[in-house]
Amino acid sequence: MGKFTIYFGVILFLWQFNAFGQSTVSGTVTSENGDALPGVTVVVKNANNGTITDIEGKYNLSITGESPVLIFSFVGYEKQEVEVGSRSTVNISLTESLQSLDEVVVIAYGATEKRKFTGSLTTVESQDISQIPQASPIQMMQGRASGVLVEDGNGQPGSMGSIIIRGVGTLQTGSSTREPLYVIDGTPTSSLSALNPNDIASISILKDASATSIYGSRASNGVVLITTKTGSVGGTKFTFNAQYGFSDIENPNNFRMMDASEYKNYYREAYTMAGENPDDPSSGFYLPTNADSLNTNWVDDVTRVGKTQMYELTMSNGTDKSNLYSSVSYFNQEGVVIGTDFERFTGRVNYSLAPVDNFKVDLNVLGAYTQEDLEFNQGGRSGIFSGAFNIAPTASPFASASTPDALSGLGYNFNLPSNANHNPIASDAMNFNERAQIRVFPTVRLTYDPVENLTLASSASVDYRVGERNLYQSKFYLAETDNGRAELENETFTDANFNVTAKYDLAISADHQLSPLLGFETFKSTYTNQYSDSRDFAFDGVNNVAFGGVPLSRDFAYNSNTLVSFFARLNYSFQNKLFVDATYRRDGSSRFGPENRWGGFYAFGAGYDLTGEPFMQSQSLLSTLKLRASYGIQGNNAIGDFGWRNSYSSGGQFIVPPTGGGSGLPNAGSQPDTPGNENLKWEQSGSFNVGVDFGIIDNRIMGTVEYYKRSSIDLLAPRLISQTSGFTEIIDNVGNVDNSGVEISLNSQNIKSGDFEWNTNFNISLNTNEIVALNGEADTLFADDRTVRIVGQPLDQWYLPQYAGVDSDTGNPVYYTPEGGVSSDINEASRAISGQSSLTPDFYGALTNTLSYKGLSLSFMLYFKSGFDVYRDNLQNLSLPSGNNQPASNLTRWQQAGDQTDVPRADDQGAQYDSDRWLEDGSYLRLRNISLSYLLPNSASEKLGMSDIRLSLRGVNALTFTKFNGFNPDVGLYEEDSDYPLNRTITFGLSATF
Amino acid sequence: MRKTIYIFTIVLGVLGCDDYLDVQPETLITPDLALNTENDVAIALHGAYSFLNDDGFGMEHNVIADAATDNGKIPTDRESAGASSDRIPHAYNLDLTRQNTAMELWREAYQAISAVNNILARLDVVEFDPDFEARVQAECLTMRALLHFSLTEVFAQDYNFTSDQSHLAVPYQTETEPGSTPARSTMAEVYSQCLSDINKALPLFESAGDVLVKDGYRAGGEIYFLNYYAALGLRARMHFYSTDYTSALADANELLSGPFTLGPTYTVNEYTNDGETGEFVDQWYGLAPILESEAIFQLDIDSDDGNFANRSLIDIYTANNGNAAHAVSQDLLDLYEADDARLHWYLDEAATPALDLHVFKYPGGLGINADAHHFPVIRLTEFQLMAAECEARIGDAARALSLVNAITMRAGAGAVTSTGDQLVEDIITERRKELAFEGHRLYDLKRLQRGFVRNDCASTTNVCSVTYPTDLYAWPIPGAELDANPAMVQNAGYN
Repeated sequence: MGKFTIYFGVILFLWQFNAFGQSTVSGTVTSENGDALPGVTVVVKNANNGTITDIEGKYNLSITGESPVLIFSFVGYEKQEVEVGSRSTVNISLTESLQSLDEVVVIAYGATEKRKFTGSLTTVESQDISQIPQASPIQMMQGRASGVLVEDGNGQPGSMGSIIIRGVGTLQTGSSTREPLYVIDGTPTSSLSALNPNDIASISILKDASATSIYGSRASNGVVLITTKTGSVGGTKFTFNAQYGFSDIENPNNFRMMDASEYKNYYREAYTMAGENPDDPSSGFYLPTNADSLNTNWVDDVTRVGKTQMYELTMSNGTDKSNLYSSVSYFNQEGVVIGTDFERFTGRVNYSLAPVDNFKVDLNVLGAYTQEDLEFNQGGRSGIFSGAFNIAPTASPFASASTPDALSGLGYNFNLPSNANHNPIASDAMNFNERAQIRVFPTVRLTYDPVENLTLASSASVDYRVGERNLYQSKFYLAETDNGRAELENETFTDANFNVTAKYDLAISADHQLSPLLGFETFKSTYTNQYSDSRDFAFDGVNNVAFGGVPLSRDFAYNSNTLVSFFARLNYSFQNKLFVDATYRRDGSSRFGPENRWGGFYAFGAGYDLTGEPFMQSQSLLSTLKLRASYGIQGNNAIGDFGWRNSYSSGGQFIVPPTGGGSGLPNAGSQPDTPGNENLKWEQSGSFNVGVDFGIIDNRIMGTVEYYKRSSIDLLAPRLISQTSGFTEIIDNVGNVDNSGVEISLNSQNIKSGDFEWNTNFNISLNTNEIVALNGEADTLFADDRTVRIVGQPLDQWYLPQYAGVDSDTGNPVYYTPEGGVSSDINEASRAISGQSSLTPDFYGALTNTLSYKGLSLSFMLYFKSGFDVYRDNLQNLSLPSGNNQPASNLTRWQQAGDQTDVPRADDQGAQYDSDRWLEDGSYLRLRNISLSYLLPNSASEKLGMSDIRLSLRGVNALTFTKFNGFNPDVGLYEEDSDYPLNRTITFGLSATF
Repeated sequence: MRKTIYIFTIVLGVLGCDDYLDVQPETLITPDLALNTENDVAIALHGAYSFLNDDGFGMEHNVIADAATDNGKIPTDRESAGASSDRIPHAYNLDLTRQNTAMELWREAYQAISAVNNILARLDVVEFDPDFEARVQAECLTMRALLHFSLTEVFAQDYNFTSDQSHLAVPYQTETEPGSTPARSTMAEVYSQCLSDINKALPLFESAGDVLVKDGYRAGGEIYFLNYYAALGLRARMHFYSTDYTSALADANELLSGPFTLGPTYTVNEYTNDGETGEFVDQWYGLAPILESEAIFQLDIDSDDGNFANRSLIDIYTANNGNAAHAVSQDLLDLYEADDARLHWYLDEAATPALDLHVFKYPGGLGINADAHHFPVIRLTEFQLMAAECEARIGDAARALSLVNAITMRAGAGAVTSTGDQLVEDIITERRKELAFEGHRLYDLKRLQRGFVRNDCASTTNVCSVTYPTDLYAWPIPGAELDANPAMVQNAGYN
């Protein structure tokens, strides 16, 4: 941007301003039902002056030129142009808009009209996600946007879920490497935790290169821009929301474990088959069939109906010089597993002040506190939920006369060999594992217009999160022999961001407009973790880690990375119908060696709004039509902070008694830590996107259809290397992956007749994923023992021995051999591609219907995801018979020669072997959200001195249809024993404004 | 306006420098800095030792030696957690696969080998006291030989499986090169490399003495670190397992005439702690070194060790502090006479009914520091029995009898009186009884090229007898290695 253009613009502006004589026009803007509309923008067409309406909807404006035309625009209303003629008063009423291209959307480093945007973007509005009784804004996005695959992950209260945008374009494992970049009010951050979702005004999901490349090295997984609410112009308004409800476990196909008699039959059969006598008390396999034995349903005993509560008070206030939005909220969810809870307190102030016309300061501050009661352990025998699956139903949670003294602690039964003596009910009562987090996230932004149309902006922010986790295992908890054990873990996350931008809007002529943007940004992220534990406690009540008699370990972890960036964007528009833009960003990242630190990323986009073209006037079907296309390169640096460095760590201390005896002394040690890779370089994605936005029948139906192809190259991944080097893997640029797909979204106003309205939203996303190349000698890369990456196949395909069912003569499991026969020897089985990874489902989407009549409104979303297989790791572990309880699905086991079944004989140990026996189709259809609300008539609420009193009933995950036999098919690749079950929640809500 | 642009440009220039992008890890250092001084090298050597205390060498190598033979059994009172694969139930069940094998031994042995190779590569760069350098070099070479040899015991057939030792063993690694894809060395190559390392180490040990302990670089006595006699013992063991009984006898005799004396007569007392009561052999009970007078190289396993990963022998063998994943077979128990003190290495933990005996050769402190115990990697008794067997085979039968009967007498068992082939057999049996659960039985069976019969065969396995030769004597190479290294060849019988 040269000085010349700035001066040119100023001259142009002054020239325009002085060209004609002046007069004034005033008036009132109202809505269709006659209410005053404050905050409406009123501008003079083809001139540079304008204003906004005041609290009473009034405006007053100088006008210039011959036959001036006023343009009235306001979010959510149809834009309207009015010729002033000779009038000095122009009163108008605006009609609420159906969605069209005039909508203003938040984009990278700014906002724009949808018409002008050439990239791929989906917006989720506040009303779509507000008041959903879930804690995570990520989980709320499920089904709201095409191309955005949201996994709940984990039903643990407070858990966040994860997002994959337009397919997995990275070979790295772990959801954090596939996550998009999150930007809250202009500040990149690594976490959406501890936000109050009701504070969110809109979420923009940027999907293609044109939209994201300006975020450079972190953009290849897409970008999610979150904008929080601002105060609206008008008097001070308070809104109160309250919700109260209940959750239980979503269990669509009634997954359960065996009861006592089923359990005994199973093991009596197993012992008898193995040649033992279950009726012989001296055999060690004694398991009589006496009918009076206990029948404990351990899974029922560790789960419950949990309560959910949300309370929120917001305040909004605005004048033409300042506005304020402020909220305080409390959210409390009891988990469906005993002992698990989540509490969240948040406070937010968004304040904006423009003391003079060309200067503005924005201050956004979030302060939040969360408190979680976690499962004492997640997964394994010591886990509360997972442990309950293992325990024999014939065992009691509580000690009795027959419990050996040595195995009863505080009245609980620790004589549970089926679960390594872990008693989850005792664990819940005696042990705890709590985590608290404080988040403080202030952002300050200064905006200064030194001359008309030039905007300089700078923002600085720190996102500071500090967490503390305390764990204590009671000294009377007998399944472990530590005599009391405590852990203390302190974490800090500090993300600091600073940026400066300069933007200039240049109208070269009425037809040609140019707006360049230049920027500079730095980012530094630091993580520390201090951990210590101790054992041997004197008293159960004094259980801080400092009071353990024997200190066990002290650990410190440190991660830090920095990013320096320069970026530029140029937008050009012709006659407000043809739009072209180009962006460039240069990033330097500390995550790479000095030779490969800097990378350049760019994009080009073009859009053409055909709505005003002559051929559109000659037909009546299409009311809006816009075409757009983009291509660009984005990057990904989602690897460990120090992975490129060949390094040693301290560790491997070696404790021996000193010469002459005595207690052990440590010999400090050091060990090779990371093999390092100086040649490591950026992962890059080349993205092509083409889309059409259309409106049919006066925009009653608005739709978008897009096709994209994203070719990701030099993908970063840990590559398994020969362990003879002393390392198991090295981080490397190992391959190329293509994602391509089609996304369709439709919004339809089916009926709008009088007081009745029916709207439908539908979106569907189809993505195909293919590994195009893998470097190195083999074109096969093993992600783990069960999945494989093969050129020509989608990512992380299941690669397993092929289960051929049960030999009906012997009851043994058999597997297909490479020669095409079957064998009961796993060593003869052939491994092959099986099923489809849950990372790459065939398609997913949602259908949302909203019906309203007067104050009554019903909205429900059906979410679907199809064409993926989940590996039932938990089922496999539970099916290994060693005294642990068995899944009820093993009731259909082979029992005698001739039985035709897929489940082997009771004493079969084959469950220790992986095979495609454990894969199940996870496709499902779910009633994800449903809400029924009633807005009291104004007359009624006014009597109470309030307005907008609304009663509501909301449900989350109310119903699921699936063939999957576990709890929840949407758990990622594996159904594991550490999975927390999905909640089904129903709440009753009340909100009022006063 | 102009000023603003200047400020903007200055901000860009100042903050754009590369220092900002050079973020140092606070918990890691580069290998050059990690191995720069004598003290650095002493610390790195401890790091290498620490791998020996982990699940691979400290547990798997030893559990396999008994569980995979007629000494072991899956106890009928095994808790379900005992069936998890990190407690290697497949060692007994012998349902070996690329996943059910000695995963940790493979990985951790090579981690330790890589650690000592890094040290050896820095010896020319770091400035040393000459004795210090000699001692470090000797320990590194000995550890490299010990681990490669231990890997062949599990992953390769016995030395005489082919007459020219051309069968595949394991890659012999002498440098660290991440990403390289070494092929398997033959048994002949591994033997020659190991012996060359040991022969280089022996004179270095002699010249250097215990300089690291003396100079205060390390806590603990010589028995916790590889030393002259440990290297000699390893060479004796290698000769013995290659059935070079002449060389084995020579090395064993040097050990027998060394500074060690056979441990005292085994005595038995009752111990109680943490809800567990039993009569144990005094000399094997507690947290002190086992049979200190004959200890040549011992591990002190402790959950506070840097690499300790939760599977001590106590965790594997006993129910009081673990899950009793492996027990002792009646086949072995039947070999002991009723008065043999060594029967107190085994305990019935289930009160009633009587069940399989659990292995309490390493009772530690019965729950004091739950996982802590010593493990004798090399002790004099092994060479007493080795010398006895060699004498019985190729030399002085009378000396053989006196050597073996020192062991039987110590345990309170009857003396061996046989002659000829029967004497050799009786010494092999005595070796099985005395060195049970010390990591020898399987490797002795391989040396002798014998199979075995499990009369007391647990219901969890189909393998109740094995005849030599068998694929079960060369365990499958781990799948993760095969997947990553195209030059790696799997053992016969596995995919």
